[in-house]
Amino acid sequence: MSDRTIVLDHLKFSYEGLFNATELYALIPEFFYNRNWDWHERVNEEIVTPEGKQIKLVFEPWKNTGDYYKIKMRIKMNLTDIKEVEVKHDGETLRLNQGLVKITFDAFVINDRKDLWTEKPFYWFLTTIFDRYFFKQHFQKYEQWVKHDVDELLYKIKSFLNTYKYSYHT
Amino acid sequence: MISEVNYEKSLIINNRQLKYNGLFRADELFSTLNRAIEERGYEKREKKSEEIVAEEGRKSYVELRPYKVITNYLTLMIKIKVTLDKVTEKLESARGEKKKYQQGEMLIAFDAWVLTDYKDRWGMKPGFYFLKGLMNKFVYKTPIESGVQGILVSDTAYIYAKVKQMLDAYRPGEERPQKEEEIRKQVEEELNKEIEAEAKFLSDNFSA
Repeated sequence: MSDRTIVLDHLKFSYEGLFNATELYALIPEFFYNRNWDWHERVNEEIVTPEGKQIKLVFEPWKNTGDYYKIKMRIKMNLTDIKEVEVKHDGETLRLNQGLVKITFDAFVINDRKDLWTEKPFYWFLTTIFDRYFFKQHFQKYEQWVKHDVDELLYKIKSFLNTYKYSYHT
Repeated sequence: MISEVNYEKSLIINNRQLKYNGLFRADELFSTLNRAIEERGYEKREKKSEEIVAEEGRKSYVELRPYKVITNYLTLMIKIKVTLDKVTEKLESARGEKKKYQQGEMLIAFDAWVLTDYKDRWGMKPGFYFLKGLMNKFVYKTPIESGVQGILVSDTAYIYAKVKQMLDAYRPGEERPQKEEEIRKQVEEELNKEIEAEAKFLSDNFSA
């Protein structure tokens, strides 16, 4: 089996207030589509309760960065007590949602994505040597790549929800 | 990325707080924090951000965990927890220009940790690991190990001073603003006193 290295572990974001759930849901796949990632929606559950909708989503988009490496993200979204509300803004009535959004991000770099180098112990040994001493820079490049994409996505979500944004820029 | 799970952690600075109430700019606060973190050679890392929009204002929480790798087995980490409460937006004019400011309560809490990972060192045997722990605690520390606490305290004091100085600039004329050097010295002394007091308490109560 190929090795999976976690490069971003449980980066958390949460927001409670008014927002447009449909637009938020559309924003994430669009982001990955624009960056040529492959899309995978692993979980999509919705429970309707008297307190509002409880929605659980897990996305696992990935991107093949070459014959050997692949980068992957896991985005867990929990929307709790989501209600539909009508808000008057500039004389217009807007239909929005009110509730709690919790998002957790994980990011991985996966080597030997085709599982070709794990058939024999010697092959596996070779991958370890090559990963450690020859492909280190490739690995670091993909690590930066996936981290940067997570930052951008989070920044987009924060901008969409109009929160006070922490960004890595000085 | 450092994986905090496998480290032996020791908390050096526990919940040093910086409180502020009044006008500020959130983007300036974060950019000051970022600059101070970078200047001290730390790798920036965001861990968590939360925001609640309520009628009395927004409540926002951002947790940063910048880290600095000293050796392969020794890392410093500062946990910076920024809480903004009851934040509303306000238009104020400064130097003839109208600018959008935030107004509310701010609390920044600093925790500083030394993370060591000696058990993963090549050739480290359980017996040697045990002896090293014992020696480090009671007999002798290598110069790098003994110096890290001072580095961590001075780095935390530096970040604290930068933020405090930035916040002081928002209330001109109230009192003579302290210089960054003064704040840094004062905070460093206070932190060192706290650490010494805690070490004394531990040695008085838990030594044989």
